[in-house]
Amino acid sequence: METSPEHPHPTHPPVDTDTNWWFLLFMAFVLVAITWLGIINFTEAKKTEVAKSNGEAWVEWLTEQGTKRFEADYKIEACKGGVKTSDDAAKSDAPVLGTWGACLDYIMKNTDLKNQSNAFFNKPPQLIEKCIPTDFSTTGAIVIEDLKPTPPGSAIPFVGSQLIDTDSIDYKMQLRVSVCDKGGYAIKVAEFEF
Amino acid sequence: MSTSKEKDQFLKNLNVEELLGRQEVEANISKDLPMRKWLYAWLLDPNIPGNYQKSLDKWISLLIIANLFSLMFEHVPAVFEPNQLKFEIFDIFSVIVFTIEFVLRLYLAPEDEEFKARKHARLAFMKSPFAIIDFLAIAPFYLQFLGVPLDLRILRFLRLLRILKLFRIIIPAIAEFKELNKGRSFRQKVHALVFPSPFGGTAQVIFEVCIAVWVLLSVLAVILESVHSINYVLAMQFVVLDAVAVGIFTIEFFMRIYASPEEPGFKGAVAGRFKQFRSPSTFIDFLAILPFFLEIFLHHLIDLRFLRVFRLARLLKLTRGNDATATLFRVIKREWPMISSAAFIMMLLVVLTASLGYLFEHEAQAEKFDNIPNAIYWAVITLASVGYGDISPVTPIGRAMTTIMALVGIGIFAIPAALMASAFSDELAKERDALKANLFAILKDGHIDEKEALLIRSEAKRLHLTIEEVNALIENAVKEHELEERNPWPVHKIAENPELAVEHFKALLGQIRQLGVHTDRGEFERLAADKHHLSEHELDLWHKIQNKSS
Repeated sequence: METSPEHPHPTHPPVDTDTNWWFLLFMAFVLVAITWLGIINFTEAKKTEVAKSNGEAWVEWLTEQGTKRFEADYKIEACKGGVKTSDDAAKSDAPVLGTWGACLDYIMKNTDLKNQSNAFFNKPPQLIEKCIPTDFSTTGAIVIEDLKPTPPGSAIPFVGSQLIDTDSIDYKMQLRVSVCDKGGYAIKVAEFEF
Repeated sequence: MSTSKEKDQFLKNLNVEELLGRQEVEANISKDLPMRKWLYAWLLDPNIPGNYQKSLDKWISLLIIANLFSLMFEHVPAVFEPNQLKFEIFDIFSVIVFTIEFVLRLYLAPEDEEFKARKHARLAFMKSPFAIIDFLAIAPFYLQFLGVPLDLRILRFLRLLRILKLFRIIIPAIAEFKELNKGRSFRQKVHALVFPSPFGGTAQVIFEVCIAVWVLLSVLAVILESVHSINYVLAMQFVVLDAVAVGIFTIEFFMRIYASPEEPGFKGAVAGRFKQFRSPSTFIDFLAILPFFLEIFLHHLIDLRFLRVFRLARLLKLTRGNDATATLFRVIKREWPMISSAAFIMMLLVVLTASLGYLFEHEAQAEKFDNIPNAIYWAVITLASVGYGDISPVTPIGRAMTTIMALVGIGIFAIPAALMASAFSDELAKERDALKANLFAILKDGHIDEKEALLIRSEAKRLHLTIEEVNALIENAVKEHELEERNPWPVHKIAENPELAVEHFKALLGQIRQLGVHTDRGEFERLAADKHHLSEHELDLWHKIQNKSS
């Protein structure tokens, strides 16, 4: 093939103006701004990670107790399995043995879980019914749900409902722990037996 | 075209594979070379086309990038702990490859242009920055292997240095870029880096590849974020990856806007940049970064989680190097009147079917055909031949109507698809014709210069033409040249140029005179007069021309 090499350099002289410096300054500003925004995002994501680790700590404690709370020599009476609540006790204001209220009361007074902190608000994480994206006060909160099996043939195998103080815990329970992220959406941490 | 002989020689010598840059060059390396020279020539010499130097660099680069990812995932306990053995095996494999590479470079250093002149070539190589980087990339592994206690963080940092090995590719590309852009302004250099041009060289290719890799990575991250089990473990990594990707895309976006006045058709500091901003490819670049900023600044006011899906639009950035999307848009624009007519008929049919469905079925199954909007859903699903079956007619008249409408629907719904297919094929044919016309013009002077070769190469790439297809187009162009040489231009073409018209008239007079010389003049005049083939004026003109010649 016959070719004629063409010099790639421009024929017109280059024009260097102050625009270059403005552009470089602007790019430096963009770089700093993005780094700053990236750090903000990272910090916020870290708070969600703290919420997740809070949830994981709950899962760890409840799973561990779940393996032994039906044993005869189980020491934590408030969370012991197989304890039936009496009608008289249920009428009193104090937490009743054999209910979630008593177990929760024990957890919040005697375990490390009481020292947890919601990184979004720097205060202990609240246990709530469900995460609400429009309500930012739920950010970083923990949701513990009791998963109840649905009748055979149902489209979904479980229905989750919030554990309330008067709920009996005398049986092997299937629980789900979730935490609410920065946007108020639920992040499932784990499903386990208690 | 100069002469027929020259033309034939030119076409004989024309190598289309070379012209298109797709030639498989075979390395011309003698087998008789000494072992070290022979090895260097095959593996490391950058000046021998067709050897394995480029392939070796490519695979080493890929291994370096894989090492970077491996190092990143080692920081994720959920990924690292269950796969620790695999990570270790990969590290050992990488170290073995890097060690072989290092030893090979050390052994072959006396053949390297850079070190061969030195007294102690290998020592000079060992002191070179690249060799130090190569050594640092493998040294921590051996130190650890020999039992030297090393802090894990230091070890990981030293392993991170492996990425510096990429400089072996980047530095020559920068040198080439500097050479190509000698004497050019800063903005022109930025333009050369971000827009394809003859000034970009390998650096521009690396830039494009880097952007494409980040596009793929960030899109992959968006997809994996939707998998709960993965997102739960890698949420922080995804946040960092997205921030880095947005950083890169934002810088790229502003570089393109800044350098756009250097693009042909985008002149003017403000008007050119605004025009560039409005171009589909730059607008896609803008959309690729917008969700990040909106989510950061506005997430307190409105729920912008849905914007995350729009990060998938980054995939459209990959269409920049592909002209097929632009062709598709051109086709839609060209065929818009037909497509809109077909859409209008489709809409009419849908509304008609839905209304009739509602009319006939509402009584029988009020819960399914409870209103016309619901019936529209059924009509679309039926006419488009999807047929989910969740809503179906039960009345005899409803079923009869559905049968007819479904048959009509097949035809009507197929029209836009057929239109698009034929228009797309027309557009491709047009573009190939345009390339043929270009080839016709290019081959006219029996010479292909760099600019013309570049045009043929880029057009062949854009139209996805094989070497055989380009060959066929060239042969066609050559045949047309020959035809043009044999057959004169049509009269109306000649008439457009008065100078040419005079020449043509002279040539015609000459032909008439030649006719008079060669024919039997007496018989010609007798026939012309007897049978009234020629009028008196025409015969008079014949006499005048012939008399002048005699």
